[in-house]
Amino acid sequence: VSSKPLVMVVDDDAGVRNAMRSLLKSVGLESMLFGSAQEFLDGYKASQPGCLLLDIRMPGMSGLELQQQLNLRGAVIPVIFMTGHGDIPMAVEAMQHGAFDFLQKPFRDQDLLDRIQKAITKDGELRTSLGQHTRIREKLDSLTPREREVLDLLVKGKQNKAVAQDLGVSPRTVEIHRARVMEKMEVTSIAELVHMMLDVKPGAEK
Amino acid sequence: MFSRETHALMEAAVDAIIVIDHEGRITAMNDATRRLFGYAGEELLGANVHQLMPEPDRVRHDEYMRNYESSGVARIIGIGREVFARRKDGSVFPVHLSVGKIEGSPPAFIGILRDVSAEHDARRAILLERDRANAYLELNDSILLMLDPQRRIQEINALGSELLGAPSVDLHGRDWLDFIRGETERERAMLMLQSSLGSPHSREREFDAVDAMGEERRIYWRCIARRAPDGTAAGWLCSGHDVTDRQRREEEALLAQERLTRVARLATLGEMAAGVAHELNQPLTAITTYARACDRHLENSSPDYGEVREAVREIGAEGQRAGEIIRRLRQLVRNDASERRFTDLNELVEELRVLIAADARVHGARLRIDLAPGLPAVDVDPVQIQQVLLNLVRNALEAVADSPARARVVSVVTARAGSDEVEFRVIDNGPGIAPGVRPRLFEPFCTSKETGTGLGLAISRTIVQAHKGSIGTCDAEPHGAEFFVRLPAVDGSPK
Repeated sequence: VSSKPLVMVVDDDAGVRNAMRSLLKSVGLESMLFGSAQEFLDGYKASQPGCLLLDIRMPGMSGLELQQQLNLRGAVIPVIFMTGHGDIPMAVEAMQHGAFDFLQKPFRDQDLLDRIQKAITKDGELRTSLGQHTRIREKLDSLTPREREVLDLLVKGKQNKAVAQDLGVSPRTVEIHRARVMEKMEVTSIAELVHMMLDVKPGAEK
Repeated sequence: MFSRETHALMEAAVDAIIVIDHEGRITAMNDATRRLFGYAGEELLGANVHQLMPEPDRVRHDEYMRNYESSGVARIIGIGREVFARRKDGSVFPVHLSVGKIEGSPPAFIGILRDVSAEHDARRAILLERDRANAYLELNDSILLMLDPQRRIQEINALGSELLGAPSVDLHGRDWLDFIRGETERERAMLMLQSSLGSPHSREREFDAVDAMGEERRIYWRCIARRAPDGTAAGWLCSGHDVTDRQRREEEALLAQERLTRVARLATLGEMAAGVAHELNQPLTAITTYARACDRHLENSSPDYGEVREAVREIGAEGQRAGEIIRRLRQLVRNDASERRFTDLNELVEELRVLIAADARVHGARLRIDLAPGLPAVDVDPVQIQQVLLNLVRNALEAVADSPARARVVSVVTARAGSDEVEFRVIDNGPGIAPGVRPRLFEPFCTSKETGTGLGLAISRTIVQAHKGSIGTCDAEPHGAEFFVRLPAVDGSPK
């Protein structure tokens, strides 16, 4: 796994594949070529940053099927589909399933490179925010059940007294839990904590 | 009244001998007369000889005799001629009559009558036979002619004259070869006549001719040698059947069939347009991408010339690949007339590979091609056989269209079939052929598809049958359909 973004090209046509490699190289982008969807799945490392340039029509597993496989695995890699003439319905389906973009062959090199650049940027952002999520989740996991209860109530905007009432403990005890939560979550204000929790909201509750 | 010698002479004669006086009365006769005319004893003696004649001589005979008496011009005496005689029972028969005069005053006459019924009948039979033969000649809707040993026309029937010569042109004596077009054809015709000489059988062959109106005609000639009674060659009898119309109809039917086949082929290719467009798009994409990559490499501050060189090389290769796809297509679209040649079935499949692979891609199916090495050649029209293969592959691809994408497989296999045939099979793993459809499968307009002409299999069968081959189908294992086409192998090609 390279830390540099890699453009992964999946096309059953060797000519197209190699031409992509040459073009990407001309602008200093590294690429990795795959002759089939299965080949890609076998060699794919989720931790590899970059984007996927995927031919929509291939014998055996099609580009669409590969996309579904990736979705099932929760992969985040942005997928740019390469389509032929008359493949618009397939391209629409691909977009509905979360494709980053699609391009019709033969394409203008600038269009392709622009899209790849955007996809790589997007991938980076995704990976950064994903990294943050992971860190937040780790911090959340370090809380005791009681501390977590306190956090949830604080995030809902409740004052110490109300929290103490809800939990049937003394305000002094809440005070101590609250200090521990702030320390563990590495925040200095409740506002910061609320913001952090909103960020991870969708997948926060396992 | 006669001497004994004379009497003996008369009685010895087989012919009837009658003596009459100057008035026509019978004065003597021999026994042969009685037998010939059916009279007994002396009953004819003294009777007028015209009693032995039918009308009109019967009433005119007295007049004949008076004319002779007054003019002295003999119409029959010393000449003899065939006349009719009448028996006692009234029946009439032909006789040859010669008359002599016994000088005297008055003179008498002696007549000798020979029954020529048999000759007469034979001659009549011959005449009848000839009439009938002539009628046959004229009725027959063929040219009939008789050639002498130098091939000159001795006899020709009306149709022959009409067809080969203008009404005023006499064809008798013309060389039969004059009516055959083309130097090599004339040589063939001559050989045909010669080869028939030692044979009791006719020889036949079609030749082109130009008729009296200057129009080209196709004539099917049959010739048989004639022999003189002494066994020497006496020429030939020939019949010529004008097959121009039949040939024209056959040619038209063939042309129509070829046109239909071509139209169906174009329709098939039209249906494949998506696949072909996609297939052309690949090298085009590669070419444009390589070209832009070159441009960018060269713009870099320290260009990677190795990269550029490789890209340029690849551009060339991809351009050739695109050209190859178009060449394959053109071969199938060509308007040429059907042409047979010795062909390797494997080569036909290979030539189609790029097109059917493109089509398979559009259908999201995997294509397997398995060619048996060392197959004997087949004598076929390559484009037509490729058309059959295309049809079968397209049908197979459509048969698997409803299967999950990864399960769709279509195979093309070549193999020997028995000792004298070569086959290719197209196998799919679709749902198979519905039992209700199977009997009508090869009929025109039998289709389960929403698009398509419904002619594919019907035309495929026509093509295969025209090549003396067979086409059929069976179930594939574990499911799906298999179509096979078997074609006769060319003798003597590598086994």
